[in-house]
Amino acid sequence: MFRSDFFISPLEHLFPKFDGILPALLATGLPGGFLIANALIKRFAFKQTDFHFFGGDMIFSGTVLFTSTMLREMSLGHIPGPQGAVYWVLSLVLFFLWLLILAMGKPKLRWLSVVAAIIGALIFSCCSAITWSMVVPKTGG
Amino acid sequence: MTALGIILGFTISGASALLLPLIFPATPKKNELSEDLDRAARTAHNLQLRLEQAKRAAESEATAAH
Repeated sequence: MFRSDFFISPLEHLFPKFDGILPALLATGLPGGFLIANALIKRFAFKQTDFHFFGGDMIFSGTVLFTSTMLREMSLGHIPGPQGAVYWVLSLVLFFLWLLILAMGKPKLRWLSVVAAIIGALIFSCCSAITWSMVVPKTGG
Repeated sequence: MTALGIILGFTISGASALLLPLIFPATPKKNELSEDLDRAARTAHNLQLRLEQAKRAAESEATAAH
């Protein structure tokens, strides 16, 4: 029982819950749109010539989104203790992954940067999906 | 249907990163540029040597004609 309460139940909250196909598609697919918009603006408006740290940009955006939403939900008392602990650990893991993805961009190899961008975009999608599921809808007036 | 949305969303998100090499085409590296410069300098030097050779030949021909 203790095991179920303390480990299984909080982990269950990490799995995204959506009302239908459109919210699911928006929450997980939109980070890809942000990545492309970021790339197009940097390439054509600011004449940037490389994309080696785009994965880092993506994962950092996802981490900030996740952490800020987590802090808001915690301050409102919407997240119970064990679930909050899991979210904190996840937040630390995300910051560690951010450093890892930035390190992948450091050698400035094109294929490695593409792999880093794919991982970064997918993690941003995960953050977005978890954040979407984390927010407790307002009830009543 | 929700699972389909999640799978589609993740696929779009991951696949969008594959467009980055198209948006940012590869630029020649510094080494390649310096190799090009070296090659151009060698060509210019060879041309200069040939020009000097041709000048000397013309001068000697002119001297012989006198």
